[in-house]
Amino acid sequence: MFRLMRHPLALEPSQRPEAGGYASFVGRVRAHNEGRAVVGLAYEAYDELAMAEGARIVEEARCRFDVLTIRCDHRVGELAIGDAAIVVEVAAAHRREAFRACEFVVDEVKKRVPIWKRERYEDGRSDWINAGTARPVAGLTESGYYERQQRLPEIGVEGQRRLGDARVLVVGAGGLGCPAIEFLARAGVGTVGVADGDSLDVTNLHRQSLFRSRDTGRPKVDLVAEAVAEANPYVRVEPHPLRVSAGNADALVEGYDLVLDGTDNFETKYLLNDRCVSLGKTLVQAGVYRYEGWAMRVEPGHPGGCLRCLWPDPPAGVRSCADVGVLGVVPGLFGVLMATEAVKALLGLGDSLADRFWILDMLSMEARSIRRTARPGCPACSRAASSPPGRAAFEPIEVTPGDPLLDGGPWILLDLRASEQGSDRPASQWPWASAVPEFADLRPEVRYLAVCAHGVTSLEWTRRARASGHLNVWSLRNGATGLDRIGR
Amino acid sequence: MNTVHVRYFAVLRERRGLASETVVTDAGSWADLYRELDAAHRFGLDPSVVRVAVADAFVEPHAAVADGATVVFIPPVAGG
Ligand SMILES: [Zn+2]
Repeated sequence: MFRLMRHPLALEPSQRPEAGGYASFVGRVRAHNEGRAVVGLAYEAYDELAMAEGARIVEEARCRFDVLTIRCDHRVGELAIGDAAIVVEVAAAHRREAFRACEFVVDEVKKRVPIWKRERYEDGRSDWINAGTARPVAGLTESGYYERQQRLPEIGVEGQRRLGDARVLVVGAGGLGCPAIEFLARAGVGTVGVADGDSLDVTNLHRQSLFRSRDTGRPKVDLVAEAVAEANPYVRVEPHPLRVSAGNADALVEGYDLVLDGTDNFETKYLLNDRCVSLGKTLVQAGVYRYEGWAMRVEPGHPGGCLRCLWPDPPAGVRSCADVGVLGVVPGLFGVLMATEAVKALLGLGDSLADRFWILDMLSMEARSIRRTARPGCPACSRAASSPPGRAAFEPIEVTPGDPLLDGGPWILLDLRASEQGSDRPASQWPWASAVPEFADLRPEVRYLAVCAHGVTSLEWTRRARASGHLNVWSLRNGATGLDRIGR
Repeated sequence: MNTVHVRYFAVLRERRGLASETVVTDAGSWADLYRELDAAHRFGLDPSVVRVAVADAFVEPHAAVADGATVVFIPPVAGG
């Protein structure tokens, strides 16, 4: 339970008989802040957002810790020195979980809940201060953060928004996962889920670039969340402190648009391959061995196929880096490559590794991009969510002006531009739909071409339409600028 | 006899002690060539898990050896 309170806070210790442990925290108004004498303060919250975020934090704590009850009250309004500003109470069967949950809730509320305080000082002046970040960072703005990336014509504000809306799951916060997570976060991927059940070990440090040497022993997902919060405050990490298994994979994968497999074992690699193909989620995979590595993308339904198309079964008797050693920069480089491939997939940029097996030997610096094709009868691909039987699903999802596919009309154009103003629709020999239909209303006998300003929104829409079973939709690559060159 | 350029990936390169070499062979298929090299260098990997890429495309191991081709033998790699 999370509440915003307009009157003084009080402790209400749990009386539940099964609560063997009870931990509480009371945060009070201090007489000093950064050397200035404080005489009082006022808390102001954006009520709806604060309540929603507070409730989310309590819920997260309930998932992460084995506790019976959690109560968190935060004051709003005028407070005097010594008044309680926040009270957290946790009842649990055992003390350790109670302590940990209590600390987690306080920390997260201070970081995430939008509550500001106005301190009144002895000298009669006052200052607004965000309760979480004690002091606003001079010059830090979201538009400034992404300025250099948004300048790329293929990305722009629209592409940046697309990244901000994206949800990417990284499985394994190790040598591949760390740099992948960092670059996804810095690129502005709005939500990065991180699944890892391990704590930081000293032998991780030479290659796992998000971690500091003083943090050994702490859970990696917590460290990742902290590191990302400092690297880019405009994105969030969803920590999943668990080992991915057949029992939890679907629930985990379903909550994301795209998955990066940064694990180091075949068992998990095959599990993620199968689940992503089955659920229609794009998967980026990589593996490293000493001085070499490989990377590829699996697009369910794509003619390039999946990991099982290459190696039908998890091979036995092949060793991992724990046994053979690895040069730290090798997973580092491949992790960055995975982030690159993920960002490209989210934006529909460039050529993909969906039908390639890309390998690099960092001793000879020889790289190869090996063409791969789906293996007929692959048990994973034959169950792919977005690939009903037949050739249709293998057709490219994007078309470029001049593509012979476009010669066979008729087409109906769908306007997916943000403004969607009918008056500025470029002229075309094909008709524009008056509005973008719901997927269920797409007519099977018609071919639809989705058009937006840069081909990013339309690609995403088309992906979703295909995933829902509509194979008669395509996206116009690079957007409306190419419209006048087609259909002639 | 055919002359082929062989490149080894990951554990195969380690076992061979070489990234690449040029061999002259009368092996009929790529699988035969792999078995020939395995006999000489003891890769310790079952041929069934080794993928074969020729001219930067995966091919079936029973495809015929082509004179002058570059072949890459690729074992599965999971490390991260
Ligand atoms: Zn497959």
